[in-house]
Amino acid sequence: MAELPLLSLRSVAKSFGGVRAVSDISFDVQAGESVGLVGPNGAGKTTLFNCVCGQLRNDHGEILFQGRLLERLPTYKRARLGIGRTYQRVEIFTDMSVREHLLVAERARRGEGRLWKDLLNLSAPQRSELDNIEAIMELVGITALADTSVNALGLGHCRLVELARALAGQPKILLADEPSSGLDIHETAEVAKVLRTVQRERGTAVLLVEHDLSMVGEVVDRTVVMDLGLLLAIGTFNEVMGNPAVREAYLGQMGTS
Amino acid sequence: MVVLTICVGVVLQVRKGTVGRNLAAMRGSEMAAAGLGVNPTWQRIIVFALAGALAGFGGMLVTIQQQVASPNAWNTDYSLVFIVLVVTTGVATVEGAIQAGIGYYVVTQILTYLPSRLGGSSLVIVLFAFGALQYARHPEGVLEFQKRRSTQWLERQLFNRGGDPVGAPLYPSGADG
Repeated sequence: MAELPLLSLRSVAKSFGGVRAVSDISFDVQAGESVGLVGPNGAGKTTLFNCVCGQLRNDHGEILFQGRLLERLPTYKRARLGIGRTYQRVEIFTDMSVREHLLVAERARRGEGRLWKDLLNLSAPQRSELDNIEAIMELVGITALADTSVNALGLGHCRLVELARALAGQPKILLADEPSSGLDIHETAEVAKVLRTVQRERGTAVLLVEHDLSMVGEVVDRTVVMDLGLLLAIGTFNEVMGNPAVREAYLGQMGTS
Repeated sequence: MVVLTICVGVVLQVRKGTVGRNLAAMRGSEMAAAGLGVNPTWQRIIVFALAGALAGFGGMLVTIQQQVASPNAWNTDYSLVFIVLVVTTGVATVEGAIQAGIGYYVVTQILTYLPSRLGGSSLVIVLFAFGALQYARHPEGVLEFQKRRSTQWLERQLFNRGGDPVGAPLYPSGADG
């Protein structure tokens, strides 16, 4: 019997008014697999991410996570199932330290947050939680910033904090939405390294939306290409980059000649 | 003072706990907080219940002091002044609430004894407009803004003396900061 995919998209479609942002998209992501989701601007990649995370509801089709239909689940329940995410535009918690960011994720994963525990001072961070947080900060390379307020960090560090925060939720799949956006070449290499480590050492599946194709080629096992909401190609990075339809989508008619 | 101490203690305890961190996270980015597993609706219910309990406790004390419970004692105009005071002094701080309480007492006394030819209680509208403008300028509250500005000034001084810069600030200070 074939192994159940971790994430399965079946004919997913989403429209905004008369604009079809995503049309009939179907593909699977296996546990521990790294898949790139690429395409020109407006291809519908982030919309698809939002449908998977529950921030948008798909109009048609089904999204299954470990065989379970996600249709009616709100975002926070999907996160607790093991869907982690970073955002195209950095979404950090202002005024919080890096460690506090990770502590929120660590607790939210288990659905903790009892008022009586707070009132009785029973919600202080446990040793095991702090150890997990330390391990993730070390993995991402932000241990030195643990007690720094994110207000004082530059964009590169904020992206790493966001990545660490997503990993603190111990996701089964990490949806990384343009993690290298706004980063320099060294910071991009650092993010790529972390994503590879997360996939290979922790067995976390990665679904990566990225415009930096060299980074995609470095990180992913398979690549899905979208254009204008449609699925254009699926295959290894080299296969899809050699596909004339993909070249045309990126470069216009020039790319195919 | 005992009641105030208990209320402040409860609020501070909640703020440093899981619920407080979840609420702070939602203030930063509700989408990201929900994306981590925080249930925003439940957190709101908790905080409204707690705020309602604290307000009810305050109302009980006022009733004991005045020996009468009358809806006229808290008409809409004065309630608006109180909200504006909390928002303009520091909406996210415990100090803001305390200062607003003191400010409310002072303002109501002034308005009560102000001669009608100087505006009297109709000045409530002017105060409300002033508060709205302050909120537009400093959504975090005037006192919180001043506190942040002082901290930034201190950080700059330390940096100029050879501190360890972490990176460029992601959120620049206000235009007049």
